[in-house]
Amino acid sequence: MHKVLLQLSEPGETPLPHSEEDQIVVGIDLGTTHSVVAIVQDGKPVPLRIDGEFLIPSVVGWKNNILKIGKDALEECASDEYVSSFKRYMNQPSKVLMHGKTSVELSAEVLRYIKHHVESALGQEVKKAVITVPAYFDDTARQATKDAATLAGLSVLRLINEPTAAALSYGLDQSAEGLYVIYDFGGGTFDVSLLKMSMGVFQVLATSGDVELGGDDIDQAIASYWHQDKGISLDKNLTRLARKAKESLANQVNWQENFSGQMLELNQEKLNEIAKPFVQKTLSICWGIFIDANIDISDVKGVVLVGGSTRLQEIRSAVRTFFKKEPLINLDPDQIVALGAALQADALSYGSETLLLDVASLSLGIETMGGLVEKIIPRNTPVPTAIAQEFTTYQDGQTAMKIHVVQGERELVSGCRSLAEFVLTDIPPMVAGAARIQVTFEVDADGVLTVSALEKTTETFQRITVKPSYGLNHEDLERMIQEGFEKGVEDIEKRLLIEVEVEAKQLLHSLKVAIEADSDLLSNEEKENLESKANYLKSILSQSDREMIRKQIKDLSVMSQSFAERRISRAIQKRLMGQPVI
Amino acid sequence: MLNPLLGSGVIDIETIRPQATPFALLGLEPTFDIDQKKMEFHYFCLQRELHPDRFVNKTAHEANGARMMSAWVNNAYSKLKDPILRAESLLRIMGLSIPGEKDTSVQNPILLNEVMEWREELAEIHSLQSLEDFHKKFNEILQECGEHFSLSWKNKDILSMQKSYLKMVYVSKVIEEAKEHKRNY
Repeated sequence: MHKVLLQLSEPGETPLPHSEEDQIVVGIDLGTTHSVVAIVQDGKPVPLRIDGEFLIPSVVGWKNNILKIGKDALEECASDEYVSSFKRYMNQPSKVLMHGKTSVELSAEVLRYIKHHVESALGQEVKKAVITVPAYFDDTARQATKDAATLAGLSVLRLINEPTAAALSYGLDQSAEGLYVIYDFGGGTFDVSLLKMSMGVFQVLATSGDVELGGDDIDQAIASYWHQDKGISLDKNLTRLARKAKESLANQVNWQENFSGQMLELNQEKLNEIAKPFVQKTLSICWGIFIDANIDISDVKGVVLVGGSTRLQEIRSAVRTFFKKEPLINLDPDQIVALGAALQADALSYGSETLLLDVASLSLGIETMGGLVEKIIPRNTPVPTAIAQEFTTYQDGQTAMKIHVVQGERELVSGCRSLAEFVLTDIPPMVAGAARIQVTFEVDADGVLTVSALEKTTETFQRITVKPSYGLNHEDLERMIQEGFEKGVEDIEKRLLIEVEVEAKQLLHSLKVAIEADSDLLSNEEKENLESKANYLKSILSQSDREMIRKQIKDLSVMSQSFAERRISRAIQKRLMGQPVI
Repeated sequence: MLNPLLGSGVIDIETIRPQATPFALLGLEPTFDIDQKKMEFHYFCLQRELHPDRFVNKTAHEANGARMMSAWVNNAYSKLKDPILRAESLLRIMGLSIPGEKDTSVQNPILLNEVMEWREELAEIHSLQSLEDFHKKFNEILQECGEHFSLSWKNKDILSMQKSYLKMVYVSKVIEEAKEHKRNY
């Protein structure tokens, strides 16, 4: 689904039909332990307070069957009545975590809560957002995040990687130029990115991380220490107290508190000892990206610390020693990601001179004989990217072929994440090796993969969007959206119909303008075909048949694709030649 | 900030096609010794115009077209940045087969012997410092192969191009192995 927020009209063009005024775009850092929302005001990113706080606990609970979110959930629900850290399960989107809800639905609750509060605070509608994800999130978790936003009634302008968002925020704030490392140690995930910032371009050179390594693990380790030392039972309350102790030690040497009759203690030295193995793990990941990027650590100009966990003294001193530099802490490590997301939301909606160039963080490959992985898109490839690979049949008369797509760095399929398996059918029967099946793997700017396949001798085309078998399909999502609205099915139908009608009108309008401006780029035949297809779409608009309109939009878009490409070439050519673009 | 390429006319946009050579895509002469700064500059200028972020407010069919073009430019950039892929692109421009690619057997016993020796040398390293030295030495060897390839390209010496390309491939494989060892330290 794509919608237009602000159509930049070219001269002589009337603005497109749209019904979306009085809206605001937001940046959301949907974190493991807490989330932050920010907007751009007067050119500056600012975080927003929800319930009086910048940090919204990413917690969902039920008290007497009444839904509680954020601070309310933490304060009102007993430890078995709420669920937290569900972001860790975004790569298992069908796993039910609590109250029949999956990580996707729980994340949607948090997003809906944020949306609702921002709307009532600002008196403006929130429909579009830039949402951040860990750079090391795989395809499934990215798709799941987009699904959560859709469920919450938010359209995702872009998913951006958390360290990249932080870099944008830091770079613009400090006018940084040169090579920077973003060390992002959050509640549940660790990411590190190496970026080059120059002339308003933020170019990610390499990224790595661990989606199962975060401050939560240190909390768990502290709780286990108390459990072993004092025999206190391990539960959520103990872990919460562990976090409190850890956070307190950022600015004091000793901590102690009475907990169910026992005096619990933690001092700086013990905390450092507990945190050390986790911190060492982050450093060995940092070491890896310099090897990947062929860059010397001494070439780095600065190391920006992101994520609440980087307040730990052990982390600061380890980073200082490893990079031989004083880490940069000018911006609040809890807010910097959301601020960057807000900047990007603003840039995407209203235009900007800055440019974010990111990379695919995980390699993509396919299974070959013997359970081995053949890499198609290596990690750290700039996105968007599209790579085509040719396959052939290995048996005479073979008419189908299975392709198994995996993500990860290991050489064996068993060590990688299985993303999808699909079967190409209707391959014309030929002798072995004669069929030429071209499979194209595309990773878009959100880091999401699409696979399409074409049998080249017969031009049989197949398009497959890669989704794991347990992911949500389009129908699931629509059904869940419907369930989420109390107004009933009819309203939803109406809304979806209006959306598709607006989309059709936009397409027809832009095509008309395009043909008027650049008809010389079309042959007479092409022009006639496009016009008759457009007229047909126009004629069915009044029939209120959503599926039919959607299909025609798709067909017309495909048909006008190459014309659009020619127009873009011409426009850019003019721009680069220093002529105004008409 | 003004687009610094404005009016310079260095890049022929008509070249943004999937079948274009990576050099043409990035507005560079096909040669091994490319001007890295110029390449980055052209790359940034093109992505400023083509990146999907510039098409969020445009219709889907315009955005799709630009996304494909942006992807081709990205792929060209990745190819030119890497010396092996750059050399490979030049061999393709000459219409030559790529040594070591499917159906082409490698017939260079001297080189293969050398590769065996390099591997043995690597296997006997047990300290990070000697690993660093080894890595550095092979980076230098790779550099030399590149210079050799560049000269052969200039002289249009096909045999010599293929030979130095093949050596580069093997040297880089050894470097990759050394990197893998380094990662484990």
